[in-house]
Amino acid sequence: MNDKKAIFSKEYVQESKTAIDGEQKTQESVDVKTDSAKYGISKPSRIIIRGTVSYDKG
Amino acid sequence: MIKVNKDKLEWVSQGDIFKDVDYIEYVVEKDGVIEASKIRFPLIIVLSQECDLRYDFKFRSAKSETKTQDKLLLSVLVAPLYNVEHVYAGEQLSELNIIMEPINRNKTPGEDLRKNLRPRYHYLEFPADIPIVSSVIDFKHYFSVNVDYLRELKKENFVCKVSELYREDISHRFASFLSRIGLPELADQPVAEKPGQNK
Repeated sequence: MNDKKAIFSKEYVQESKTAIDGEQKTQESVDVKTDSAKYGISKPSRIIIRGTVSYDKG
Repeated sequence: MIKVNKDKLEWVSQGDIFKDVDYIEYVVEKDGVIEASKIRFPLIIVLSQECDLRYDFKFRSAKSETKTQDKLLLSVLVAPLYNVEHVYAGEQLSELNIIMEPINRNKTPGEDLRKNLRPRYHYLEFPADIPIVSSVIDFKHYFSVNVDYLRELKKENFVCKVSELYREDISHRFASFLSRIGLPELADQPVAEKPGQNK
């Protein structure tokens, strides 16, 4: 029986990365909690990870 | 505004808010190459019932063997929090190339959102010492997360916990949202006359 092991370290693709600093911010939300941008401003983003699979014979 | 607690319990608890939680969309393997896609949510809230979470933790922490694994949870139910400013603009999922319907903040739709009159959404305003801007829980976007993953994540990514009364309100509204019944519109059927209605 083959035991599959994934190696993720070779390639790491981040398709859409949320840029906290470059993101659209409304004046209101920024003024109210300027130091909270990292919690409140960013949006969900997708991350794609690709790697090769090695097979361990067991 | 809601009341929150910053004390971190040892277990994943109902009403916990975490930052940077990953949702696995898929994992596929073809010709020796494996690809995984995940969505990273900046903020999520735990919706699973507190008693279930406590018993799961109790079971996992038990030093002696138990007869069954009856109380073990497979996953924790959570829902994302979106910045309300993004929700007004319909841009909360723009990084995923998903366009949402804008909500006019200055008219009835925006007021209804802030008064929690829209079943899909739950509006939250946090105290000044909590670093979260006014946000909206989107019940339609609920998903599940592995229990061990979330517990490990709690060490670094726990933000705060919604206090009991407010979390019960969220839980109640979420249950109502899930149990809503969509009725078909019978537009072609003749409507019966109302009592006393003259022809």
